[in-house]
Amino acid sequence: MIHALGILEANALMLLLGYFLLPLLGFRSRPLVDRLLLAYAVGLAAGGVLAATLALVFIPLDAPVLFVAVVCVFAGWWRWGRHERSSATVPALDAVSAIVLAVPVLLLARAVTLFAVRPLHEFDGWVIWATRARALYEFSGPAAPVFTDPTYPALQHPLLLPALEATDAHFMGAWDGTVMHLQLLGFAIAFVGGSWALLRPYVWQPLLAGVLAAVVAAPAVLDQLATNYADVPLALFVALGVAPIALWMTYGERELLVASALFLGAAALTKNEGELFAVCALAAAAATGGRRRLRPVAITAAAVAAIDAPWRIWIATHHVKISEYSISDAFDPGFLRARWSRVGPSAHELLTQIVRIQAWGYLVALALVGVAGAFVVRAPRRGAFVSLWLLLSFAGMVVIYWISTNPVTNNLYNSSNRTVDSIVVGAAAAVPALLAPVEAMGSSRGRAERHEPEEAAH
Amino acid sequence: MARLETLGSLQKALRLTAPPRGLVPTIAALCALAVAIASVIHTGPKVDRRLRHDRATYAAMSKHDRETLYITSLGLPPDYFAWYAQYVGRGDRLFYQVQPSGLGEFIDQPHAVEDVGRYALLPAKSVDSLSEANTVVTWNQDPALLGVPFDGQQRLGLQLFFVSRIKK
Repeated sequence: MIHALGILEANALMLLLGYFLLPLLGFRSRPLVDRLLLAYAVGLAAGGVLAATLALVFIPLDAPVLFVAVVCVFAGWWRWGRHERSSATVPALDAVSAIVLAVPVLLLARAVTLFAVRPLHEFDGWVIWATRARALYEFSGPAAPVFTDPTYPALQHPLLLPALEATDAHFMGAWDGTVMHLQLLGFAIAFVGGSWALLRPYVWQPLLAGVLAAVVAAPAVLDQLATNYADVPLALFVALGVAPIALWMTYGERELLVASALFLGAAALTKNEGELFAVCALAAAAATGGRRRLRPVAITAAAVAAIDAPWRIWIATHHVKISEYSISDAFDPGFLRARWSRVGPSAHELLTQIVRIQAWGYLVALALVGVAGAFVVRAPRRGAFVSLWLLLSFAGMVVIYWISTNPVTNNLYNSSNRTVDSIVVGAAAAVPALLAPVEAMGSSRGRAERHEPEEAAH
Repeated sequence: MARLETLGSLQKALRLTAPPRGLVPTIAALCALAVAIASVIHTGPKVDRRLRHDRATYAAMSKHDRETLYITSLGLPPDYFAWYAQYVGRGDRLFYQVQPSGLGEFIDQPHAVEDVGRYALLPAKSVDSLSEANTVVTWNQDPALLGVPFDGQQRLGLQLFFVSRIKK
């Protein structure tokens, strides 16, 4: 119990970090509750990025360092952030949304009681993620050979999740693998709270509440989150990063791109597929946004690359290789031709996992309604963006299985139910953005002038 | 007209946010909301039951049993690792000498012992060659078979479980 309090303290400080970061990053002002919800999501992502980056230079994000980070951001907030700024007009919480929102709140509350006693039980959760987290706690950074030698598995996975868990251990004063899942639950709380607070000014809130409830109630989400695997945390960051880009296509609000940059950057540091999903999202935004949106998209891409760069540099300088595949093989026609037989089974199995109702409920149907709806409500850019992101992401996943050196059946059996998480959750979570009205639900003073309605952006 | 007014008053009474303007956007948003709620109804109760069931299962276990659940679920006795942990620590580079044997459907004994040890024996690190190691962790084998000199050795009773310091 005392160890769980350590996790709570660490996350409270990350909430504070996010709170003071909100205005500094250009997020518009919101009512207090929404600000706190968004602050936790931003703080978790920023804290995770900070922990993963500092770990590369063997500085642990322990209590003193996190406190100093909060004080520094507070100083910036005091100097530049606390004054009047444009505020998002947020519609009052209506009865339907409140009732629907009770579902994820109750499920997450129930999950707290489980995650507080959930031991490490699954293979990757112990062998990969907990081992890396505990090693970061013990050595303050990615010490050899734990992070550099193929004796240890999955060296290619970046450090955000284990670094956050190591931070928790510093706050606990010891490593305790039996309460560590509470930190994973933090990702789900950040997803629900962050999506709600960030998207609510722009979308129809009963639909937003319904989608958040459907995602949290999807069996795969909490089941997998309780395994200490990084796939669901990755999916939740990807979802938090993709939906704002879709909205930005219509509303052009800077805060939406800032959110995308932060959460896609955090996704890139959560698992190596995160880079794929982030690149696909930015490529899809560039391809569907029109020439006038290229510059902001390029700046967002640069921000994501800047977040990811220290890890990439560390990987390159320590000659850490991905044991299962080499990206250069994807550009070798002879290699691809020789392994062509892997494509069909990979695509088939990934699709099978995506449409599994036992795992995802009706999230795929929901995403299809959203994408089709975007075209009929005259938001074709949003529809095209999400469709292209999905196609590119799916194709990217197939290519990874195609060039993998693992036996295809074994590879798919062990991972395909998890690697599709980001595609399903990202698509479903984008539905409120896809079906958002051309005018924001809570229109704010002066915003109409700044809007670039999709139709006008051709 | 009267029906529309009634709907309007109901919307006000429930403080419902108006759906997007226009018939098509409204229908699209309502369809998506219906699918989302259907999904929640389909999966929510199952997820809730699963959470309660798992909570009951794990809460009934002792802290020690929860800490070692992964090890016991592999079919290994966890107490050996607690014994090893007494004699290894920071700065140690461990080489695992494990009796070759199957263990389960997906893993053999040497891999299982190493997978567990890499986590459970931290901050000692694992290496894959004897030449890089300064300590040998032995599981049901005779360390003398390795043919390296030791300058210190712990043995678990009369069993073939050892922690041996390699003489450099």
